[in-house]
Amino acid sequence: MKIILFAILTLVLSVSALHADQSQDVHDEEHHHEHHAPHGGTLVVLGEEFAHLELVLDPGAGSLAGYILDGEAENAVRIGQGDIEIKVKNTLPPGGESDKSGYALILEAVANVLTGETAGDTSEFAVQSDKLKGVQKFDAVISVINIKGQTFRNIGFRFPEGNE
Amino acid sequence: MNTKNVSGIFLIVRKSLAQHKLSTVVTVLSLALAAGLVMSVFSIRNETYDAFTGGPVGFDAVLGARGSQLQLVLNTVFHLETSPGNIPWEMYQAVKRNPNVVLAVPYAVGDNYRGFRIVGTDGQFFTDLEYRKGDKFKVLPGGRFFDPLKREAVVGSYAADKTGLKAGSKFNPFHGLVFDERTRHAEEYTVVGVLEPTNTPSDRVIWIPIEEFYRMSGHVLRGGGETYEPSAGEEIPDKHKEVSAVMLKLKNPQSGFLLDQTINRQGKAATLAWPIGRVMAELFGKIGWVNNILTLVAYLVVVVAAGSILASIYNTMNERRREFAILRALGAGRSTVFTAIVLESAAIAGIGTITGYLVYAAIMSTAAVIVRDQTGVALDVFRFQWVLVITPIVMILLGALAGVIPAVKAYSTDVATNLAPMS
Repeated sequence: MKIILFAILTLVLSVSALHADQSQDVHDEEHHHEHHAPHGGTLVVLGEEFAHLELVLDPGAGSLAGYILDGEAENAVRIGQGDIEIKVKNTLPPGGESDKSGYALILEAVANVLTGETAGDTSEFAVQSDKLKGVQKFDAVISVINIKGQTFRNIGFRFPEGNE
Repeated sequence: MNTKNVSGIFLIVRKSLAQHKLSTVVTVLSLALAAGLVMSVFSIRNETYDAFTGGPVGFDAVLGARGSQLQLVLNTVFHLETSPGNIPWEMYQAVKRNPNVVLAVPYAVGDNYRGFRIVGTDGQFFTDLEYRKGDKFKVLPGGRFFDPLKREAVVGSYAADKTGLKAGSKFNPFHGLVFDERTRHAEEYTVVGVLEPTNTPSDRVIWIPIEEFYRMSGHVLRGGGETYEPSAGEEIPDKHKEVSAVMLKLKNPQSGFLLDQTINRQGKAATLAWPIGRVMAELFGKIGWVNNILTLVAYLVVVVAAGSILASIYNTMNERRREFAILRALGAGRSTVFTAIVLESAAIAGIGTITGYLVYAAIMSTAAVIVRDQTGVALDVFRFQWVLVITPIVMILLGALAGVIPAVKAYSTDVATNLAPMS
């Protein structure tokens, strides 16, 4: 009789432990699921995962492209903004005097016939600057972005780590 | 069991098969059909899947109007479907300039000649595109590729064969993709070359310069939004031009991911069908149930064939009781009789399966001709498939299994009763 009771107790405890493990997994997954940058760039989260800005740097060409994405960083979100200002400093490798005080990059809205996007209704922004040539890392602050009626100001992050 | 016993069993089997020639032949034929059918169903499934999802098409992706990727691939790669719509020329130029694209070839469709579709394209299709790794299109001796500014045509080998068009022939296109004599265009085209066979869907197509495609009577261009009808001798502005699709050769697989992200996810203006094999695999996924039904039917035919072995041998058991009794009286053991019957059953299955290879060859050859006729895709009919090895083994085992019931009956034959005088 004792053996049967012990077996039942063990079974109940095992099932409870398994269930607790699974709940924990789901819980963890809900809070720590990872987003993947669709263009292979750096993700900057805006708000409580309301949206993302993906930044793709081409150090060779000195170009920086930005893509506005949804909260899951999967689908493009078009915005009406004509440009996005990003203040950059502490670049690596260091870029001289302008680098210490920082400088502003203005990413212009990109019209693309392949996507049907136009300036003023686009998810793609880009800038080309000689100051970005050879740059691998930098500190940055996005001045302002308006997405779907919400405004995000002074979003700081480190490139290429992002702020997620 | 010694050698003498084994040779004795083989003798019994051989004599029995010869003695029941008619039922043996009928059973062998039914097994041949079953084996041929099973092998064909599996082989056709594998062959068509491989040919349509991994066969040579020459390009990696197709850009076309917003809509179904499958329709785009079927229309542009296999020349089977209607076009989902047109995209403006500037989109063709934009994708051509894209750093991820190595080659972009325009594709305009909307006419036919006796059911074979006429496609407007440019010279890159012949000079730069490899329809199979290392293979470019070639014209048969005496021919050449078209001049992009003349009413000339290059005809695929299959289309040439069926229509009788050859270098020097003249023809008038018909509007639409379905042949209707009432829709004949006034313009006359001269065939300047016939392509060497490529065993690809391109063999079924008649290629003309895209510029001349635009200038065909009744063709209107809407690339710029408004309707534009080209006039003779007047250059067509790019803003009015449009194409049905663009065939793309990409730099690498990563390029495909980036273009897919840009055009399909970020964009709403066009569709990129990429990778082509995956798009076609989805089609096979959707119609997979048809294959399952065919497979089920084939299995049922095998079961019926195995049943026919059982029935044909079992029916001879009554008349062979005396024969078994004599064998037993002469010293043959019960196991010898049992083995002889099982072996006879397996032998019928074995002969049936070998004959099944002929049925298989006939079915596959016919299927290959039909698929080639309908799509231009060539099936490798005699490629090795594991089903060609597995089927005979399974059929012989099944045959042996079908022989167990009659064998048990023979095993239990009572010697004394069956040796009694018959009259």
